[in-house]
Amino acid sequence: MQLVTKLKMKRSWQFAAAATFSIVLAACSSSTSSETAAPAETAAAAADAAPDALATAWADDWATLGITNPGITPTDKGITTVDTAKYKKDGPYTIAFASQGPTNSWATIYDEALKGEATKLGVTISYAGAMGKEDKQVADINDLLAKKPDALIVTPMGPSVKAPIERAAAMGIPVIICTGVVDSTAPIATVDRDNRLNGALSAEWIAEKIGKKGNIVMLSGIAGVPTAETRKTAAEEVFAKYPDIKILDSQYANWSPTDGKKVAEQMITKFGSKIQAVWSDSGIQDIGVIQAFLAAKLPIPPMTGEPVNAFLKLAKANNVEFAAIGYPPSHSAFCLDAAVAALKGEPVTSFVNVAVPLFTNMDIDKWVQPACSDDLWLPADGIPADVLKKLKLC
Amino acid sequence: MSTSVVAPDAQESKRRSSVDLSQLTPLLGLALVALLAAIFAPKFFQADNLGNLTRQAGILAVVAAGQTLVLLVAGIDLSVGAVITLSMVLIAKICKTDESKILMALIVALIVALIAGSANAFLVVVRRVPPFVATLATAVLIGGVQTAYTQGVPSGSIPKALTRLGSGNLHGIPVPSIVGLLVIAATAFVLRYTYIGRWIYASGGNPEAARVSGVPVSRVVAGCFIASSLFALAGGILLGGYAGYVDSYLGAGYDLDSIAAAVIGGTSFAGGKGGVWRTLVGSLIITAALNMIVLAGASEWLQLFVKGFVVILAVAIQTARWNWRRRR
Repeated sequence: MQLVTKLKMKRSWQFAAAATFSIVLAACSSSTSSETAAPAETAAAAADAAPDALATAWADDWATLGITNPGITPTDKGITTVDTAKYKKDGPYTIAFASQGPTNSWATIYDEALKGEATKLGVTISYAGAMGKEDKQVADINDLLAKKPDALIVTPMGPSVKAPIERAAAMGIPVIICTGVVDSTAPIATVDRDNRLNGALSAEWIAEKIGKKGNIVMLSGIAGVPTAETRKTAAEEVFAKYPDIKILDSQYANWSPTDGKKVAEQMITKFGSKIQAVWSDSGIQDIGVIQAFLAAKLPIPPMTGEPVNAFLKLAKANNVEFAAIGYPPSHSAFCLDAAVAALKGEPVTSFVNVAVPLFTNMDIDKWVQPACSDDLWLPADGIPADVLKKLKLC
Repeated sequence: MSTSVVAPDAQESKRRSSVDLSQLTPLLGLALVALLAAIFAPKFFQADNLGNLTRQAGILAVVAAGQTLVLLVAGIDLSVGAVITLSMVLIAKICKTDESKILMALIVALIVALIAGSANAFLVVVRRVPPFVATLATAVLIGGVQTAYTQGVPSGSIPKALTRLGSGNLHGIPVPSIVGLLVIAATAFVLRYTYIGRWIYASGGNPEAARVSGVPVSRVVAGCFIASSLFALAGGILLGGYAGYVDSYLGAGYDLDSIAAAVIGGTSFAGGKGGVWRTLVGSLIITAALNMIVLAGASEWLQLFVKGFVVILAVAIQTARWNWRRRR
């Protein structure tokens, strides 16, 4: 059981990272939430753009999906502008990056995007990949700190990384949390996507899709993982505003196509054609959901998901109505931008909300990449062509 | 020489009465699950639901049959999940959209499974590494190979030919259920009616005595570890076909679930006791219990609780049975 839990935690963080992702990829700006800079923008630009990014997303993202905020408000993240003068030093910089490690396509692109940004900025990266393991990451961070880096970027794999992060801060090293949450005031900034907004957006799209009344089911990621729980709670808050919407069932599908199919099969057994829509927090488990409805020879109901190419291909082939809320891995570049800004003594925003692609099945032809790998996360514009080729993604 | 070896289970059976009711414990467990389902989740008995759960149980049974062989020789195989994932990742990566490469992909996956099983066998039999450590190390090693080969992108769609195998039906019966049944039947036949089966029981029950009797214990143990990897590959093909998409977590949980299925069925960690028919029942119990509680609307924590409780209960019953026998 412990092994299962650990494996699930791996997945939780890969998607926690995914949830963080939003920053940019402006090439798809017509469908990208709130205006954001491309990863290649300077650190200062990223820092300048950050303060209002969360408020802008909460104000604008609803309309991008063609829906209206039913009265959901953001949680106060206490966003401040951090004075980084005490960290100011001359380059060139060596920045430590304690990452998740290349456990899947999302995480691999995430690493490559940050390394690509480092090349552009002339920064040397001292890298350690935890392969999704919290205990390994604690050792990784300690090893990285022994090299006395100028700054530390961490994609946290669990709460126990708090101690080495606070040790880094005590050493005078600025710490940036890149995707995820750590219960500590030691980091000077966090770059992530507001998962509460993602959960609320997807739920409101479902509500409006079924005319604010009807029967729905919910599929979340991993029980207890903040990314999944935050999205789920926000979605339930939205559905609670519509008394004529009935949640028939709510289950965890572990961000797994296999579990997604199993759970959907059981929901179909229980409720069959009564299911009018599927709220899901991941495109990965939607792959299984679509297959379950196909196997049951039932019409596939509208659903929410993420723009991973496998899901988009399947949705297109079966004319599935959906809303996709992205989590592009290339936002890791913004984490490096924030670290470099701190080392230059420029002000840094304590929480940088990443903008994400938002679109529906109406725009699927603009997003799906039939000739590319199923593993590709869209949009891919921010990812260098040589990286896509090397990873055989496109 | 080989025919002179009699399995400890067989000897024990002769000493006892002709019908050993304790061996029916797994079936009673399955009956209990069915009874609870009738009370709390009547839709459990719908044809489509029974099809779904026997499909899933069939996949688990194939993997658990291999695990049972390893447990019978007093081993344990913690690498089956890794073998499942790597073999299916290889198939997805080699085939991509070109179904004509499926035969080559299957051959590569077969070779990899053989290598993994042989590595386990070498570590356990030749290097005398405890099976728990050896197979765990192999699992970690497989993860490294997988990351190196895929450059961190261990996922992709499964060829349609395999999805028909994992998701299809034959005369209304899920193909994995049929495959699971055939695999269990074939394994049971080997265990019960061939000298290899008697060697396996003897090697696990009392290896020294078996060795003295002329049983090639080392080769038997090695064969069980290799067989376990091959069974994992077969289960992986069914699982990948069922899911339609492989990622690095496809085989996650199958190590422990396959062990649990065997143990619930009454196979002993100490070796020499157990059988694959009861492992099939164990697979059905695990799958049916989880299916039933989900249909009953149980929360996630209760699902995990029930899964753990079923294993503990099964072990407790087995232990109590042995104690009772000793007291007699």
